[in-house]
Amino acid sequence: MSALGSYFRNIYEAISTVFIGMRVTMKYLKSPAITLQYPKERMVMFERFRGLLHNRIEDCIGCGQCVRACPVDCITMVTVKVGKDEDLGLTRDGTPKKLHVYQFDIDTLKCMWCNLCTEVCPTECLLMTGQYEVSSYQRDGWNLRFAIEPPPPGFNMEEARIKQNRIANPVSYAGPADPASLAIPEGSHRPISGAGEFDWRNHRVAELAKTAKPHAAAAKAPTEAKAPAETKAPAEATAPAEAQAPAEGGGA
Amino acid sequence: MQSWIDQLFGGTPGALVYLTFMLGACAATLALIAVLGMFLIWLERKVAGHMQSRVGPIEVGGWHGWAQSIADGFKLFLKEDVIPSAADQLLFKMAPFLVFAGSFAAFAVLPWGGKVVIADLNIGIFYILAVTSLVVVGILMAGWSSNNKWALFGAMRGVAQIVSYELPAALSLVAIVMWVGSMNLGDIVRSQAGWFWNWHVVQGFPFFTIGAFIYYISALAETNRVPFDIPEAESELVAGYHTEYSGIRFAMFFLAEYANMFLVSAIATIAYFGGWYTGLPFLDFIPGPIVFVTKSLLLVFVMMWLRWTLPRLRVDQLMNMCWKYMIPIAFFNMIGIGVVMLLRGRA
Amino acid sequence: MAGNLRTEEMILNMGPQHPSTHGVLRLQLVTDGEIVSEAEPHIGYLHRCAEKIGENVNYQQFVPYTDRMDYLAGMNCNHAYAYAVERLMGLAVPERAEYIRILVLELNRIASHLVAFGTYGLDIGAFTPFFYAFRERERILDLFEELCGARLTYNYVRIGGVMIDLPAGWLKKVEQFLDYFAPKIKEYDELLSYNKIFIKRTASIGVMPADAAIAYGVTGPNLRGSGVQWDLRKDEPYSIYDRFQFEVPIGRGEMGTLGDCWDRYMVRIREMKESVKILRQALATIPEGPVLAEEVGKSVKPPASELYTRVENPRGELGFWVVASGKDTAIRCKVRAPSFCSMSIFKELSRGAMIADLVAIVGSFDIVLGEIDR
Repeated sequence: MSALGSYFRNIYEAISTVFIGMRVTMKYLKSPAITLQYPKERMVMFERFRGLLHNRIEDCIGCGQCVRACPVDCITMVTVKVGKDEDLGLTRDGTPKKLHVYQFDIDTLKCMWCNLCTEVCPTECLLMTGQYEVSSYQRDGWNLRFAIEPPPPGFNMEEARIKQNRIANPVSYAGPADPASLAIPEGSHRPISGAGEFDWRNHRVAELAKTAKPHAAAAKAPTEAKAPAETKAPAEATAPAEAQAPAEGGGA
Repeated sequence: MQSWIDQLFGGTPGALVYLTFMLGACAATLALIAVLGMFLIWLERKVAGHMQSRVGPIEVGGWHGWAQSIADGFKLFLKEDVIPSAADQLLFKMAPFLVFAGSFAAFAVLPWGGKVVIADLNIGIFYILAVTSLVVVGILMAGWSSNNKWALFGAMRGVAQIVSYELPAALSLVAIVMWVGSMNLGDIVRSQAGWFWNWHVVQGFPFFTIGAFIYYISALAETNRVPFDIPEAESELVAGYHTEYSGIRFAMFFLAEYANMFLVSAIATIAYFGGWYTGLPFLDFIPGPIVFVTKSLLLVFVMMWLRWTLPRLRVDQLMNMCWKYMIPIAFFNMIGIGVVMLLRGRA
Repeated sequence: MAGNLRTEEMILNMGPQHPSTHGVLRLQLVTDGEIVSEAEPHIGYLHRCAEKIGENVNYQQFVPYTDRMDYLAGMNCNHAYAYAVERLMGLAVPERAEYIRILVLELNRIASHLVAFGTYGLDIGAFTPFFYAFRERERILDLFEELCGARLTYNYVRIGGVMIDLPAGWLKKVEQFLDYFAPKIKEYDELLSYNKIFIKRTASIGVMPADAAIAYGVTGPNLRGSGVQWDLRKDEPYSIYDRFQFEVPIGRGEMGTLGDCWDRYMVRIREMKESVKILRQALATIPEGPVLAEEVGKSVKPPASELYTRVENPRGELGFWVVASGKDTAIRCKVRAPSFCSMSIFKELSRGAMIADLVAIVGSFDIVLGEIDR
């Protein structure tokens, strides 16, 4: 009799568990969806978000901590000590600058987004911004060049670069990325009327609106990044043309 | 439809007239299937999306992406016609059309309304069961001619499944035929006229209720829907018997699947759920076809609901369920109805 | 005529690109129709020389690499390595850091088991649990993003503590998440775990006897599914796990045979409930204080020695054998990955199974190829 009993129990269990499962899916059919319609709706990044790197070069003292801390050696820096009579000024927090920084390149394609470089920076000039749309139509679009001081004539950059860096990143990349593209486009994170007990689409926007603190680097990057772009323009004539491509790829 | 043509022409017009009307009916049915197919594909994606806490298509066409299917169909039309060089060319090309023909031909006998039917056959049920078996041949052709081990696997499983599940489906429909006394689909619906408790599913409790379940589950297996979609198990065999198909040929398979889904839901509606009758006589001003299509679409929605809820059965468990559970219960059903008929003097 | 009929065994390749092999795994099957007579796994498609890199970068620089091995349990892998180096150095971790570690470790355990649950449903053919699992996971990943800025490769648990203290309001959000999540496990049970079709697909399939599991070095939920009561958090407590009350679920052969796929799957579901318990206790008792040991300066230089330590990862026992030389780079950094040992028993379990069962067995082991190949 137990075989017959298990036969009917199988049928009963099959039908009842199917109905119980259907009840769960029907519940979610009636609940609102939690999808964010990117790119029309964007999330606002948290303050600690580890996005694209940015260096405020006027605060950089050329200490090289970041170059040493990077696990993948994506930062290339060439520095030369200032002469006895030269004065480069102070950084924002009052540290005197003792090194010329002739090259400060960050190869974003190698970067592993680990944040070790920003932790060791003594003047907090190296930051991770809220920019996460790092796609480009060109392979060399994301080699970020931050240095603004050109080396003196006759200075052997090749030799200095090989001597001062564990792995000398190649200079085959052409042109700087447009630092202005670091800012998230204005008006692209519209809060939308959310629904449900947990406001999936607005919870981050609402959070940040409460504390009312814009992202530290994103707020500053557009205004300050314009300055290096302008001073670089006479040095590299191809800069504006090249700068357009990553900007289009990044900001589009 | 023949009697309607005779009425129209006040006599028996020539064969050419009949032929023209038949071709027109074919074209109309084809158009209907195309529209229904597109609508059902869109509905499937929306239902899937919302059950999974996401939206389905949302962009194309504006309101909830209603034009997504049209865009997809257009894209499939424009695709390159790739036929593997080692494939059996003739069989490869014929297979999708055979699968489509299997369900298309059965649309001829569906009674959409009181007199709205293309071919009012006296052997309607028998014709449907016979014609839908063509699908089996088409699937086997597709799997074999693809020259692909995985496709062959899928085709073998599919054939075994469809052939086995035709039995419980046929048996549950035979019980209906016994009760009504006619194989004509129109008669079957007309025996459910009036209030909703005249519907076979309610009227014949418990036998017809069980029969409705049996037929619906067999219908799921016939159309390769979850939990019986092992022939096209996406997570195992990529796409089963239609792996090698692309473009318009794949569109044909896809359309055939949704046409088949609508067809079996329509048959379930006719046999068990009242056909074109609303079940509430005060609502009888609503035209029959609308009621019929709505009921069928509701049953199709339940198929979609099941798809997104249940995992799939393994092929031997599927066969086990058919031969050890469905067929004995279907037989028990049939015998039960016979006994009830004897007792009530309907024999 | 029967004498002339040639039947051959078919050699079939499943992977390395396949929807169900949980990564780039290649399974070479010898099948006779639907029954598999032999299934040999071929690995190495995701090898990225992580252990060699461990000999070339210094200790703190290796922490982000540990994230990428078992990428679904980044915090746990960070912690395993940090724990190894701390034990080498004899470094004491501040109290608050230990509590924060417990919080993120258990949250990551829930996130990892959610992926196991969702993808297992997908393998068996149920498409919806996957989306539900990832919806819940989205909340956990948002919590992690607010905490350390990253969603998958955290680099948060460091040698000597954690990277940075909690942001304001984070603990409240974790509590809200736990209130939201606890009833969801019941829904998963209704939708998938006790579904008759799912039970038929997983019960009595891939039965792994306890002694075979121990012989092959299988650990974690896979071992506990065979009824062996062994959890490093209870049996060799590390960090501050001995301060929390929680149970260790084991398989009991409820639905079929002891040690089948259903048991392993259910152990993970129950472990999620236990993690919620641990999290609530940790939330209630977290103290104030520093989050990084002061002795950890710019560089970490353990004395010349070697040590093997192990922790309970969501997938099993993750072991690190670190050979230090007194400099700031290790001489050898060997990883004992739990998924590697789970995969080693696969060939035995797959004899005589059907192809659909193979998918169920691989899914029940919850392997991550990043860990197997490193």
